[in-house]
Amino acid sequence: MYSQYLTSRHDVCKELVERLSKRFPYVSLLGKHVVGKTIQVTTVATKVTDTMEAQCGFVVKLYNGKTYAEYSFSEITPESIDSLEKQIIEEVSFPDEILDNHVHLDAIPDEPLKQSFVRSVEGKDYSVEEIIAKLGEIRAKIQSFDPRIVQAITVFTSYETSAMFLSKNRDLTQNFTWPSVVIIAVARSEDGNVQMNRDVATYNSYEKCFEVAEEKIPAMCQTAIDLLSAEMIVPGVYDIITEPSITGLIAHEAFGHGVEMDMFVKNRAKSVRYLNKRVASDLVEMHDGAAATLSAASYFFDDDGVLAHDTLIIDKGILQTGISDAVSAMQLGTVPTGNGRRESYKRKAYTRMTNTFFKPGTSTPEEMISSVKHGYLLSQTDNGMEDPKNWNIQCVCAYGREIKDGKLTGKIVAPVVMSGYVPDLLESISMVSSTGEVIGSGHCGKGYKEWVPVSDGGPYLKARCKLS
Amino acid sequence: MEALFNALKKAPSIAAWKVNIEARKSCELFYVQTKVETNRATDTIDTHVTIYIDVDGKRGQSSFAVYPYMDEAEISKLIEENVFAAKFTLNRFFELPSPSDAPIHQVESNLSKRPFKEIIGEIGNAIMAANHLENGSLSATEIFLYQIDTRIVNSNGVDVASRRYECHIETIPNFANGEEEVELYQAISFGSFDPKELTAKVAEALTLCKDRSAAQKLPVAGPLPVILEGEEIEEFFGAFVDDLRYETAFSKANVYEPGSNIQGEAPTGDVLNITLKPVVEGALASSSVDGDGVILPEVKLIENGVAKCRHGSFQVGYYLGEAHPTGRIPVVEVAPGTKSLEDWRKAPYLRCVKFSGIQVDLHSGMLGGEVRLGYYFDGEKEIPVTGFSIQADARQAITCFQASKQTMVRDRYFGPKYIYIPDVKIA
Repeated sequence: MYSQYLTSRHDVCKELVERLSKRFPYVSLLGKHVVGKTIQVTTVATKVTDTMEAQCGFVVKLYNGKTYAEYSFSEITPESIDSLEKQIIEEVSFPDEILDNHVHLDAIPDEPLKQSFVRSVEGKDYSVEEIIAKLGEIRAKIQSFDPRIVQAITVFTSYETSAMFLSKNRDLTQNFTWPSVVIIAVARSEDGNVQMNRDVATYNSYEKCFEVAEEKIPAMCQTAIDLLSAEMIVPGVYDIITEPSITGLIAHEAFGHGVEMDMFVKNRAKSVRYLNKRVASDLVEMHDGAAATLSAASYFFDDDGVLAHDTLIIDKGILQTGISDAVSAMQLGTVPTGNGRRESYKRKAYTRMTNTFFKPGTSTPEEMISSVKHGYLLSQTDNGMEDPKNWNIQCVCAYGREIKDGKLTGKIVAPVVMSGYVPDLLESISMVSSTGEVIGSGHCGKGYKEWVPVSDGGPYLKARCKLS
Repeated sequence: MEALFNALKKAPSIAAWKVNIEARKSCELFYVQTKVETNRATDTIDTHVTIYIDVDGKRGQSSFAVYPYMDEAEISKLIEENVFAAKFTLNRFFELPSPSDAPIHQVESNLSKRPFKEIIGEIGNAIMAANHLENGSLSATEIFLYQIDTRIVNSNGVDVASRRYECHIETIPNFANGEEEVELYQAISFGSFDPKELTAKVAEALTLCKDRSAAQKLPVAGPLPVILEGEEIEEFFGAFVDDLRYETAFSKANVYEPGSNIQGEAPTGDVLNITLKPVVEGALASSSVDGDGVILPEVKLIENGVAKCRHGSFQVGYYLGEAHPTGRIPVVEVAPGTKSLEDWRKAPYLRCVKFSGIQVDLHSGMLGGEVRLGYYFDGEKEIPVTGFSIQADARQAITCFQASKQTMVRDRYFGPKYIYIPDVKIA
């Protein structure tokens, strides 16, 4: 249900926007109220906390004729509006010697729109008691899979976002929820070797999250056991098959960050020189957008009040466009794509990815594996780091399974670092599976901060890459 | 806050409680190249409450946020909802920390002396003063100045407040070599502002970027001795510190135990000594108290290569039967060695300066990652190199590393500025 608190502050926020609009050419206000719980059941303890996304507050954004200025605050009331208005004007007024040295900007277009959006979780609702009971059942199944599993962890997270965007001409509200269930097994061998594996189920349905998490238990646990005998890979260049998690890692880290158009404004993206040019093989189609699929980063409007898009970034291997927030689009003379996102009301909006994924092709994973002479099936995202200016890759996969003469040999290597040059990797894509998955349990930083929920994924890909 | 404390005192069903309050004021500047695009200010408050209930000798808990708009009735309702949730989280009993007479270290900072808007302009000027390298530039710079007030209160009588000042900078040096341009991400943080030191750090970052633009492919195949520096050293030693946390043992994911000889019977390099310290001058994370209100001690964690104890959260330490859990001690101090870069400059080595993100995993042993800038010493001179990855076994590397006598201080680290690891694979 949409936040009663934000509803109660709507009129006073509107009044604040109107007052400030008399002084500044562009003013908007974003109110965010996110509530949710993280419930963790482990072999030894149970814990209930607020989710990391929980927040309640406001940010005013205005154009002062020189720069964009913002002020974040935690409360507004009819009684405090006079003092708050003064406070905002004072706090955003930086000395002339700082603001006179400004980039060329203009007021963001403020097209009229008044609309409310709601997306509800499908199916049965669960009480805290029921969630803990369900997590306990799943935990017990993980624990009983093999005596070498010494710790089983299950984590349920669900957060409900309410947001209100007001400007002179826009009055938008949205409300939606996104749940996930994470399952983790820690395995320990007799000789003291310790390994961990995890998997996740994220859907717009609590029931489905629990169902899929249960289905994933055997494979997740078996991999944790297999990892006890994992070796380090012999560094080299190999044929690779990427599972959807690693496909998403490539879409997101290797390429996605480089088409965030605030990077174009800052001259930080190599991709700007490749617009309408080949960056990948013919088989590659890549999308990003809050409206591109239903996952963790699906919303109705972004933190700039721009409606969600489905942006076609790569079509048949050719780079079509990037993604943008409102201020970057204004500077570049392009149309914003609904990718302006803030970590919270306390932070600045940047161009951020949402749901980023490759489109399916025509092969089957089995055909792809059978086509490999010697290589690896790479699984489970560990982490990745962007390098948009130089297009170097660092994608870390939790593990890889060896393929020889078209068959999985049973040998497992962990972890596996993919590195190289992004276009080399994307142009080497020679097969794309017809099935895949977009996985919505991750958080993405910009550099080393500004964490926002994202999803990524796609089909299985066959490519060639340096592994170490 | 009065409404919150009243509601907590009146709640009949809770056995104990803890409140963490953080009030933060900031002043922020965002540059595109050398010009300002956005200026920001914030004045926000976060209040997190944990309530505890006791049932049949067990203790359950639930945490929630309280916002400024909430009155006593609303907070009381939230408390009851969380009491209900806590009934399903009955874990082993543990006691909350008690008050201590030990003094709280208040960090001195020159950032407190003048208005932020005045200081932030000078910080911007100090950064831009370095921006004079031919063909070099700064693509973007972000400056965040914070005044952070924290208060920790619990039902046992702990009530600790402190104020600190922090500046965090993200700047992106760029270097053009003809058509080709390269960049190197640079993060800088400090608690006291020294304009000359800041200009020097940015100038050094620009020079590294210039070197990256001139970097060649590594001319040899390896394995090679590798020298690590900067945050990668913190990550390397940090993996061993993390392994000895109560939390790691509690989740049974630890590799080492107290008493484990981490360096083996016959280490071939320097002896490992690690001390955890609450306060180290220049380390931004310094704090004499942790988020539970524990007044933090100094702890010898690893002595002569042998793990002496575990450390970490008061609650988890209590679960493990520790008589005096340490609390979360923020700074890792590693004893320096006796070598210098000059000493290692007798044979070829590879000095890795900038990684995409080093991976250190004690479970697999993995120590490595993609190197964005390194210097290969060929026996005569250092040559900038790029486009390769390194791979070693961290559990092996700890038995044979050599540490420099030169030290560095970072947000959470004080110790050797360089470490030397022999026989590292290159890809």
